[in-house]
Amino acid sequence: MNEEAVQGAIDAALAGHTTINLEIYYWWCTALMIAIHAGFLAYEMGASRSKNALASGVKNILAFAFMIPTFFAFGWWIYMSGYSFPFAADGSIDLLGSWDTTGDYPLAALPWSQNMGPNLQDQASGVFWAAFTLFACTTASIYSGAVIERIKLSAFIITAVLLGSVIWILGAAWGWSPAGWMVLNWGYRDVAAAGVVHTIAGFFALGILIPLGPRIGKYNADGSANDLRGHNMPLTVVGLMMIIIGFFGFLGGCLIYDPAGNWVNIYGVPSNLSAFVFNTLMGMAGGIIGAYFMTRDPFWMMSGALGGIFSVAAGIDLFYPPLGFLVGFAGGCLIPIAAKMIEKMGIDDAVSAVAVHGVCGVWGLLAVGIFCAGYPGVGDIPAISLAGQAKGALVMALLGFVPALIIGYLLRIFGLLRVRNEVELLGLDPAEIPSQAYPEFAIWEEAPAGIEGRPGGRPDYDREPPPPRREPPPPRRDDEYLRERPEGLDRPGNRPPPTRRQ
Amino acid sequence: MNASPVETFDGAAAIFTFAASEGTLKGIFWAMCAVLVAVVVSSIIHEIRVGAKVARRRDPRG
Repeated sequence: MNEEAVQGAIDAALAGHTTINLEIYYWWCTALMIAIHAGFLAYEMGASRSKNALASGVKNILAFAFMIPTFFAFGWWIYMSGYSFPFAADGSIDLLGSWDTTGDYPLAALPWSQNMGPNLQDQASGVFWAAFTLFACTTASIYSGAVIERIKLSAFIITAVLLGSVIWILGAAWGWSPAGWMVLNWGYRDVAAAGVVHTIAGFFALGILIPLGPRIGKYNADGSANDLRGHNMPLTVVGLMMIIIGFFGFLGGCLIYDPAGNWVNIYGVPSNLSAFVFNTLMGMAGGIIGAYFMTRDPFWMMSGALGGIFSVAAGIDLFYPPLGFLVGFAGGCLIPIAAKMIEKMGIDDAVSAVAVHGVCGVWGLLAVGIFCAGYPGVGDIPAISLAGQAKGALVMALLGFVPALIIGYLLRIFGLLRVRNEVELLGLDPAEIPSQAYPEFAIWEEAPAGIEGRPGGRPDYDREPPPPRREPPPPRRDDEYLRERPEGLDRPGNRPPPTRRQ
Repeated sequence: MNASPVETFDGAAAIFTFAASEGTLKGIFWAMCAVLVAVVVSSIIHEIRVGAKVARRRDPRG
């Protein structure tokens, strides 16, 4: 075998390994992203009151399940063909003609194309489609927490599909693709999807929350807000931690492993996982500490962890890590302030999704414009600018908010958006779910007469609920607690007792 | 339609089990879409029905 033949064999072997590495990499990114959904499931079930715990879980599970076939049906094609929508080549508005329907990628993304199924010559379409599908599922999970405890399941499915398989992926075609019009015209840079996923999903949630209205009991007659605490804070906090684990798959999936075996970001700019992980961890730490500084509350601290990651996401491959920490810290500080403002506006966001995702997403986009302005793009992509980032943030926020507001009011007009007040008061679980989250405990005030029992596990609602086992003890006064405190704990300044002398 | 477990499509390397023509693929695709729509519609009907029944029950707070 001559030297050329040996070199050819080596090149062929390397190309094969590169292709297999690509498949394996995105396979495991996708698998890891499922932890995001396990986390959101736990998070939202814990953040619900016990009478709504399972209904919140069903919502998350179905969002996941509906997103996959609908993203196969039209989401992936929208990404491949909508990068210049609604602008024609001459810059005019052309709602129909601006879609690319004849290029290789749009044709390959049609649900009946040869690339959208088992194909021995295409080892990329499946894993990339899967990664983007899980991104789509993430947008739906982000939105789902905001509307728990009163949205109809069918309305949630319709709106989640609109968000995950149409809206966000259209934003991704515009701003998360080297061919997107926002990228080519404004130099918009959003490497790990702070805008296209978090801003869009956060503002989509806001657009639904306005027509949906607050939960019964959230606001008093004088307009003051009550704190409708979920029934299981530990579950919520553990869920948030699982979301963070899953985001390592999400962020990893934002890197492209190109055919030559090099890492580039979604815009074709060279990058690597080391850059990503520096700022992921530093942003997360900054977010936790920022939220702790503002609230001392574990719920906000874990939300701050997410907010910190989203704050650095747009510039995750560019920030100097201590700068990433400070950007994350600012995000963590912003979350409780934004959540309080939204609450004062009469908008009941049950898990502060608008603040964590929407506000931190916008902050992350602006941070790239502030701290990374002038960083060059590849090919025809302009350099990063604050103006480009600000315009991009505005477009992403409106792209999420406006369609949500329209579909929300349409569903409300037809009575399809919100459950009846009687169902909300009773609880979604006893009304709609054929099993109970905590069957050992009687959580229903009264059996809902008129709903017949069903075979297959649905509880018999006509049956009288069992009586409470015992009366709860009366609350104790503070002085009773104080009398039981161990000696030394009530010393001035709460100092610990002196150590025993030998 | 060909029931062969491995079937080439248009002479390329795509492998579709039990599907040998684009018309068949489109039929299966639209069947999937119909299932999704039907499930959403059934969910809407179920919620309306349950909501009406719960509304008819007597008020627990008397």
